[in-house]
Amino acid sequence: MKPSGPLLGTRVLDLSGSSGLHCSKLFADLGADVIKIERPGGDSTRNVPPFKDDQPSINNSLYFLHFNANKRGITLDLSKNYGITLFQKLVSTADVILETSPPGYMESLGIGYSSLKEINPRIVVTSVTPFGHRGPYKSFRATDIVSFAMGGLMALSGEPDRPPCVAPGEVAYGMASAFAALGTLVAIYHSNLTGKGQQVDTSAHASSVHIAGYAVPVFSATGHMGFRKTWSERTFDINDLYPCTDGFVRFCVLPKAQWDSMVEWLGSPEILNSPVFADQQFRRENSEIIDPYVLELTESQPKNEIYLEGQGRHIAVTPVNTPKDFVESEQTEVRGLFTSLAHSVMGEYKHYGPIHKFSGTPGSIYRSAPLVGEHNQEIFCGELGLSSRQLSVLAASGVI
Amino acid sequence: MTSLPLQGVRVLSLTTAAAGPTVSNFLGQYGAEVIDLESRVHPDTHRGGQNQARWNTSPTFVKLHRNKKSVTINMGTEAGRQIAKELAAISDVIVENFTLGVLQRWGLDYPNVKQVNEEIIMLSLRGLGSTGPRAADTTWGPNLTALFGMTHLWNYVDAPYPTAEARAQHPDFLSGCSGAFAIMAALLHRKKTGEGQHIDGSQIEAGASLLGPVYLDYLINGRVQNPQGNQRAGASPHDAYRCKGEDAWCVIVVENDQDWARFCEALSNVNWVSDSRFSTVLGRMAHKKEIDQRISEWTINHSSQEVMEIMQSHGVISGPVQNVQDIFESDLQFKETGFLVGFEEPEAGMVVTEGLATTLSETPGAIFRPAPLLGQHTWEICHDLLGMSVEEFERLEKEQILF
Repeated sequence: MKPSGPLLGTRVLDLSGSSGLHCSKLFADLGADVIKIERPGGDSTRNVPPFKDDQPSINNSLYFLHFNANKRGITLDLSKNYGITLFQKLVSTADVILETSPPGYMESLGIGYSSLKEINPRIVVTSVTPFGHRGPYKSFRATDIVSFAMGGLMALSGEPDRPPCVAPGEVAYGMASAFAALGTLVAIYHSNLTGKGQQVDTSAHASSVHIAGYAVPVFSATGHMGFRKTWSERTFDINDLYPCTDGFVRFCVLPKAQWDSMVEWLGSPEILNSPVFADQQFRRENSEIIDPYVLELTESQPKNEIYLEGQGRHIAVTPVNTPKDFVESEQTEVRGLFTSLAHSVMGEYKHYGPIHKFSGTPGSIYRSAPLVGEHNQEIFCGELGLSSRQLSVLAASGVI
Repeated sequence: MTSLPLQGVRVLSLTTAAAGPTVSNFLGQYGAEVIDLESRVHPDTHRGGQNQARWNTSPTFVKLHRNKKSVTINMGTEAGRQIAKELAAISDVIVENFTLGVLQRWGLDYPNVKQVNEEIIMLSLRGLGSTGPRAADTTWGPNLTALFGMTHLWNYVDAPYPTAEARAQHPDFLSGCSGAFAIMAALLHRKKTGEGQHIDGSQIEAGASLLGPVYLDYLINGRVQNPQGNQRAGASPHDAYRCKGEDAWCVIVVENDQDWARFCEALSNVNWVSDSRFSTVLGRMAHKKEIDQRISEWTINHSSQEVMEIMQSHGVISGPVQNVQDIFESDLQFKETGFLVGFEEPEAGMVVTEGLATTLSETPGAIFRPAPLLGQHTWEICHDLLGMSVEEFERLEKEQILF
């Protein structure tokens, strides 16, 4: 299978760790030639669980596997002079460099933006860092949970008397990666017009605030703040959970038309037919009147029956699924969200993506994640013109 | 203005709620001319629906619509749909997230628009995508996180109910951002080839992408993952610890033995840290409860801000759990970098929104204009872009077509 998609012909040199993985995946799934540059021996993200058969090893990480399909992998030690020389040769062929090192680190290696633009004036250098490249916290260390905690959403997650609970899936990193990807394409758009590249500096800390709902504008206008709620505090509002025979469903009944349909489904009890309930705010404040009727409906049925019946009535209700339920759902199957692939260690398996379907230039998942240094020969010899002998010397001296 | 690199790109935003408006919002921040097609017949949820008092005063609407222009067209009329089609004909990009079938009914679906605008790029960003048996489902963000397993996983290890997920959480913003990315990719392709196209986006697929490793754990290992709270394999400590003050917490992360040495240095006046049982990752995992208890005994005497400063000054990963007030008042990084952008809205008063999380060194983009009043730019757009006369405009207003 071959790369395809609207970014065919765009080359990305990917030096990123966890916070940038989703960014380069977005590029790789739309046809960009993403060359993942790892330190000799392999990147540290290869140590992130889960592992195939729970056996930790360098080519066994399912975390690494998910984020690195479609990318080619080479090893290069950027602390060695010849490593830098080879990197610079690649820079002259690239459109984008993506990196997640602490501010100043690239400069300390002699490959900061000001040096790289001498080699390639069109180069876009994209960074994803915990706090961005300026400001008083720029040298602070953070991982996803810290960015998430500082962004405002964690304070709203979990039970009131227990520690706030982080989201699964490194969502602060995910949002930072998406912002970095967007900024990078905007920079390429500009460089296509002007011939001039630039730096794209993304802060995971700032990205994290963007996913915290409407806390910022609402607080600024009204002083109102959300807080953690217990299981029993429902507001029949936007995302309350109701138990069913085999799990839970979530209702988000907002527009009046949906509420009307809901009342009909509940058997039009006289009290709920009252026009005061048409007001969302009133429903929010009087959930204890609504709840018994909803519970009577949900507690006697399985979640998928409620889902199908509710959607048939144009009510926003969905089951609380396990990851397995999602993977095996008919919608996922019909849309072909998972593509069959082969990997020399994992064997045959199914891989996620791409997340957008382009009618003219569809992207694809065409190659599994690279083994450590899998494309060294192809890129160093095939593209940079090194001989096989030179390659073995570089391997022996630890440059690759 | 070179700081706005997408100047000259016109985006027609046929959007509602959050995911669609987020796409056009992010394109507008880089200078695209975003025309929000609205109507008084069906005002946006974030304008408060039929509640006229809220139309121009909703802070949530402001977050999603600064920089944009608003034109009001009654799409229930043939003449209204014709005007919308004229706008589609002169746009570069259309973003839409209405219920499946609405655009088709209006004659504005991709095949129809393509007839009047060969190079159009159109993104449809529905909850579950535009194809498949559930494409017509009615969903809001929290419905989607329930469907893809996030609600199930976002919890304490021992929790009986799946209710830890923040009630403000939804994938609209992430899918909106990756949707804007997809449009930029299509624009770059069009610059090269002249070809437009339709992009079928799905909010759930964009959001669920972050849980890829969890799905692979099921597909390859057969394991259905359960919640892991604030624990992460290999890192210990890794949690939020109670600090001095009301509902004050600070996250501390020790990823390896080197981090632990730094942590011990930060707490050098506390003697339990030198306990040899805690010197390895395995030891710390085995005694997690005891370590967490002892850390809390220390953090409870410091504000969350102090804990962060002490930890960071020793190179330990740490940061306070900030509520929105902390984001405004305690966070020195946001203060100094001017991340939060506040200005006076014509009717909503002072509203602050998040600034750009990405800084482009040459073309930074900007939030430069308040959110539009409902229909604020109807005349400007009809006259300047469509060449409509005053008489025609007044007639269409009177007939509640421009409405």
